[in-house]
Amino acid sequence: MNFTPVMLRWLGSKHVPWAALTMGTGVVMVAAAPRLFAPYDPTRIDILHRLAPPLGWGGNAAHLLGTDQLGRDVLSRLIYGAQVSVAVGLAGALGAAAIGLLLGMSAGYFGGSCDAAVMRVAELILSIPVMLLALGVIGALGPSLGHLLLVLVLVSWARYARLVRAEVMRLRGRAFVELARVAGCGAIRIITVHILPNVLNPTLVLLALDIGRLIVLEASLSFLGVGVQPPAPSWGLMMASGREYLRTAWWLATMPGLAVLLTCLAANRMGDWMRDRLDPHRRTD
Amino acid sequence: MLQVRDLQVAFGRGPALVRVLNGVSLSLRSGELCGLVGESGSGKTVLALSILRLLPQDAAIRGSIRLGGEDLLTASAARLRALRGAVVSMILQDPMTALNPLLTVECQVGEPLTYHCGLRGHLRREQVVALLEKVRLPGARQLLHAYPHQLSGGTRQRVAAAAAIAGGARLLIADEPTTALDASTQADFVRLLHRLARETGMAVLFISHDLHLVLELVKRVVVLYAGHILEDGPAADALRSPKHPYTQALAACVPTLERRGERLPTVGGTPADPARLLPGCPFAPRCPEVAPACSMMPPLVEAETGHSVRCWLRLARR
Amino acid sequence: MIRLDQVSKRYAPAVVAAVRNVSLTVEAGEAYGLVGESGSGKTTIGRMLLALEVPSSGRVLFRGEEVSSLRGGRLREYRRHVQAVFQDPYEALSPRQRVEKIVGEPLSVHRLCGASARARRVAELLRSVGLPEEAAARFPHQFSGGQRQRIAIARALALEPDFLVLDEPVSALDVSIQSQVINLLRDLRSERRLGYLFISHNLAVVAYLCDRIGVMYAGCLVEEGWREDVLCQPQHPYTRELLDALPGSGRLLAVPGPTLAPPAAVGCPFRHRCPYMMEICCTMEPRIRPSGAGHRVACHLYEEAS
Repeated sequence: MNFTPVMLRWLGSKHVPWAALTMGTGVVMVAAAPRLFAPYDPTRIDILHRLAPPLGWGGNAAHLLGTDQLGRDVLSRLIYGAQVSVAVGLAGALGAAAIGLLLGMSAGYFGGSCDAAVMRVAELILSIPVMLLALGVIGALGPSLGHLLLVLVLVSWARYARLVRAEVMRLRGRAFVELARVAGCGAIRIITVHILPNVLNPTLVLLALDIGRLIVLEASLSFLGVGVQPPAPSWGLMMASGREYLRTAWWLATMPGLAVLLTCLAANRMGDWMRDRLDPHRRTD
Repeated sequence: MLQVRDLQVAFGRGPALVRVLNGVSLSLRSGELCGLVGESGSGKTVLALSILRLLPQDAAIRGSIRLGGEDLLTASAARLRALRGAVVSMILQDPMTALNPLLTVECQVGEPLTYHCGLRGHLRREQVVALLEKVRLPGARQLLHAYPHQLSGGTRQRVAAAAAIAGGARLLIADEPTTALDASTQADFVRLLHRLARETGMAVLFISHDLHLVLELVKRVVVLYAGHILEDGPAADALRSPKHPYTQALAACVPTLERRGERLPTVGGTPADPARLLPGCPFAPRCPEVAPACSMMPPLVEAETGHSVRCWLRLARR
Repeated sequence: MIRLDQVSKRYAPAVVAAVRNVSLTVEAGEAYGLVGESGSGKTTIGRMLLALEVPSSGRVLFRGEEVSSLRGGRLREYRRHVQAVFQDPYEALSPRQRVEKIVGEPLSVHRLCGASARARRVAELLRSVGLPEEAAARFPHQFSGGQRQRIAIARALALEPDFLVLDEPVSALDVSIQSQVINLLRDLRSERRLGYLFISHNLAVVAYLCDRIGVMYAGCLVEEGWREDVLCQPQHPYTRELLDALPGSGRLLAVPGPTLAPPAAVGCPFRHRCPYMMEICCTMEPRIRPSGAGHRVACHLYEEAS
């Protein structure tokens, strides 16, 4: 793949990350309305044209990214699969971040028994292997997209809570927070106005990293059969089933892998950029 | 001993180039106590770091720094390592960050002894005790196994001083060594520096923003502002008859007991930012006696024997 | 106006108390200077006054009301009277807020005026501390240390308090800037009839601003009196040590200097450093008692005399 380094350089440029923004919005748009973009029905089987290679590797324009072992169009499946990946990555990470922020800030600011309770639960969750926890919950509730999301939020929020708590405890002793108390600010105002903007940075960075992690986690769970159920397309499921054909039809696993890679890169780059925009020290005005 | 000639240091390049030192010349004889006074942004720390060649890689250095006849700017990395600690040494502002929190006092003070003198074991320990006694730390033997966090600020700074002189340095650069200390600990540390210089005969470059404190210790004082030396003369003159308006202002604006209750004379404006310097005298924007000629840089001229000043007014008055 | 009554503060049961049995009063409009080395408890006293810490025993009173018992609305009301400026101007301002928000925040928290009135008031406050009105639109990191300290002072003045706790407000500033801020604090005090608790380790700075001076050592108030009395006729050996330590006299190297010793746990805490130590100092801790008009000292030397 000789275009990956080029992509990396684009995404790494210092200024507005146009490539990452385009990639990000592209994925979200495609995920929002896959019907408009997909050339075929992602579940339409066409045995006659099975395992057609992508355009440029001996394939033709009918199937730009080739077809899979059942002759389904890879591009269409990628586009429909984006729906699951985006839902999982974005919603899972956002939900986990929101819960983690809320609990982490209360634990860090109020301390005492509130802190102890939140942190014990967080440690409990972090000490159980993610897969085991996920399998357990899905096993009990039954596989569905909603339950998958629930599991991902459940296993992810603790990392945010720990990060946020440590930041808040550090900030709580800083002079400007104490002076806010002296000025008469109540707890809610101090948390929202003085502490929250300062913990958003590290949270955003973790969020950007987490989107990629959750997409991969969804892939793993789907691969194990407790995530998205076939024949519905998901990037993880596609990678899992393409694994058997790595020698003969590399594009089956590579194309969704590339999609995951680029989406993660774009998410990270946008996270960095947002962090810079939110930090007044880096803003020039 | 130390000869700095026309030292120029700049960071960055192109439009972002910041000249931190602009042709600084300074010489120190053996055993001389010299004060370097300047506010933030004056380049005093950069000067100290360039003498030790500890500036970051991207710093552009021109001029010459000679230490005991050896050119430091062309010296090899190995030679510099041999010189640091053994010939030239440094004490930093914050004794908490200057000491490694995980090493005992014996290790910190003893490290230069091992590195430069090859001392080990029992011999090294005896030498460390001798050094701690030299910096007047009571109960030196009990201190050997103490960690930095167990010591008070003043004691820590003394341990840092003991480590700095352990290698037998001939030149000690003390960069704001007392700024983080309390008033009486500060006075005490200045007394210690004085005694160490007298006993060991080493030269001391004492860097501070507090003119009054510097004058307690040194015989000669150099005033640095925005990377230019504005005045270089005997310490006794700096208070009684300062030549440069900046030195005058510095001498006047420090609160002293004698003038308590009075309104303090002030220097308006803020210390010069080396990134935003206009041509001409760097102090001109804040100078109460600014004249049209000040839009050009005045030369550093010897006004009296051993007393140089960089100011058009003083030149005209001669 | 402010009275500390036998106040002690102990952070943990096993640790030596940060403040021990300190009693002092500050009248309305008076500037009281508290001097001492780091760890002497002077900052803790300021923090108890600001209701940031609760005393372990004793009472901190403001106009006869106990500060640590104030809650909710009463505490907010108290905040309008007592404000603070801290040492580090880089720490004191919220890094993500513009100056107008920082200075105007106390006004909006206490709902004292509408948006347009607040903007006018912020401009007025910035002018009164010697900053241009345009400063309101900028962020703290665009200012130098001295300018930030002015912003911090403007914010402390926003509620028109009667009393300011100033904890080392000039220690982190360049010398030429120190004098500007000291003069500003002097002017503000005479314009607004402010009372100050000025905390510093530098006796000379305190002498410039304060009417009365208290000297603290190891959590105890060891000497207190009018400025002239403390500076010209210091009684406690520690006060003398502090005076000897001031640079500028040219006598610094002539004085022998104290030995570095931590405060003693039993008896007079200063005895290890004291050149006048007597037998009684090893066993009994001296209590602070009057030793002249408005002068108090905690030292056995003066008990014998009286």
